[in-house]
Amino acid sequence: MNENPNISPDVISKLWLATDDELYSIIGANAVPLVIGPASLLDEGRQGEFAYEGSEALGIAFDHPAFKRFAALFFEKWRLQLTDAVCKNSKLADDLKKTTIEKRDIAVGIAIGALTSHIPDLAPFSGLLTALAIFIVKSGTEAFCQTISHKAGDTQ
Amino acid sequence: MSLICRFIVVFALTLGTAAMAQVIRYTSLCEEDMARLTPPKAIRVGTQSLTLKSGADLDIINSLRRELRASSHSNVVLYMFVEANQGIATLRFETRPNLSPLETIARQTGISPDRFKESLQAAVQPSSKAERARLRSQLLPEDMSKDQNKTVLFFDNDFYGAMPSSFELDNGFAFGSSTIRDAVAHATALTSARLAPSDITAFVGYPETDSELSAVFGDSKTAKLTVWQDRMKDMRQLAVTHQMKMFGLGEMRSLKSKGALLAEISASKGIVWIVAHSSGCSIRLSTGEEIQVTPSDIASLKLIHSPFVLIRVCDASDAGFAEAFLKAGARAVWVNKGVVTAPQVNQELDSFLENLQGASIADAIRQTGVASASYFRGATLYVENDHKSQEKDGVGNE
Repeated sequence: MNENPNISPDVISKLWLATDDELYSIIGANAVPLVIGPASLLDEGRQGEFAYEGSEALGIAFDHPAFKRFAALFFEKWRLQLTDAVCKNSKLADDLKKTTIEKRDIAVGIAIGALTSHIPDLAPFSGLLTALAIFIVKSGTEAFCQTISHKAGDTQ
Repeated sequence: MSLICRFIVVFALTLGTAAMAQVIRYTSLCEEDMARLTPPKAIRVGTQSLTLKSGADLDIINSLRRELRASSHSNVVLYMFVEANQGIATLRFETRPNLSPLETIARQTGISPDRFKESLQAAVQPSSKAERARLRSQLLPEDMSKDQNKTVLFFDNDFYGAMPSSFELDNGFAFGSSTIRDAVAHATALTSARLAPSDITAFVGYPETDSELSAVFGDSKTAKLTVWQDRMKDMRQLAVTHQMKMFGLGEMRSLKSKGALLAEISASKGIVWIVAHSSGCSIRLSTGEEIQVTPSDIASLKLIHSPFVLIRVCDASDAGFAEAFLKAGARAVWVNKGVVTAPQVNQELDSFLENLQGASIADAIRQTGVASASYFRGATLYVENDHKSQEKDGVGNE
């Protein structure tokens, strides 16, 4: 709970091992203020939308349907900006292709830099940026862009 | 140390004749820490040299050299991941008829063992395409055309979790064996061995009652009981459709003793072992006695028919069940690596049982993998060489 939301090797290491569903849930949770207003949030909260009922995974996992819906909403609402920042960013693609396993943390920093320089509005949301950057570095820009395109249609 | 170590071998059968025929991983089951206790050692690998972090790896390498020399006609390429002074290195060995194996240092990286493990663990996630590409480009040779039409083995001596699929080598199966010769033999046997769904007994640990839910998951957060009940209902329907014998926690409870349950496992020709939460395989028998079925219980069994075993358990770790079944005499264990959900498990099992009709075990696994490729990357098949199996009528002997 006292975790520094700013990028750190420990945070990267922890998120790096998260499953895809967990990472989407984290992106969604960090994107809440960007995709839903406080009144709607109150309504949804009263309707129990955020009650976590646990996942159907064998074992323990964090797979939160409402947060994943927010992630999809985020990808939908910010699709153009993300496309500019990532999908049309050939320098980022080249940098990540050259990235090695041992330079992972630097690559995450590069991806965060690309996001903040193209989408300054996201700069205050360091947790969201970190989770997005990890997703981008793990998947590569091409797979990331396919995913946001697919997920953006998954907002219901 | 190497002489008394047991090995697990991982095979990947790739689709398409032009591609590599098979990929195998060898994994020592010795305690990891033992390797750390021995001093660094400089070795010659072909014309190159390398300083191993642990001299214990040298014993393993020399053991492999002897084996590959003894199997010089087996047309095998073996990759071994070792910790060198700079970081993880990949050694490549290739058998040559009547000669010692050809040896090269395929890759020398600056990747630390911890980072290698993290990379491999991340690589099992479907979205981690770039990470798998990095593993392949940094740990495997740039040109793998020389491996075509050979049996390619991945030797993961330090249990990093290196699987063919994590290197973008698709349709990865894992085979376990004590020797390379046996590994190849088992891989070949699996491609012709048949298993009828009616010969399979499923042991399914989905909770169906409140007490089972709390016994299995304790305080850990999981889906509601009604969700698990629905999944179990699906599983029961699946068992009826494929005429597969099934023990849910309720049926296990009706047995009089733990011994009776273990006897059912021992007598099975094929086993499906699904544990909702590895640390909570708890069953309350009809006598009221609560029992835990642990990997050590399984390991102490003598599996009469050397069965094929499908294991689905939580998280990236299989909690020791795969190793335990192999130790008990299973011919093959097919286990997930990475998180799977109950709906995925049910769907996959349904597909596998369907595919077993008219196909070998290896083909059924391959077909199932193709159908569920989005999350299937982590699944690994281990095959054990067990001397007992040569004396019995197991699935691989048909």
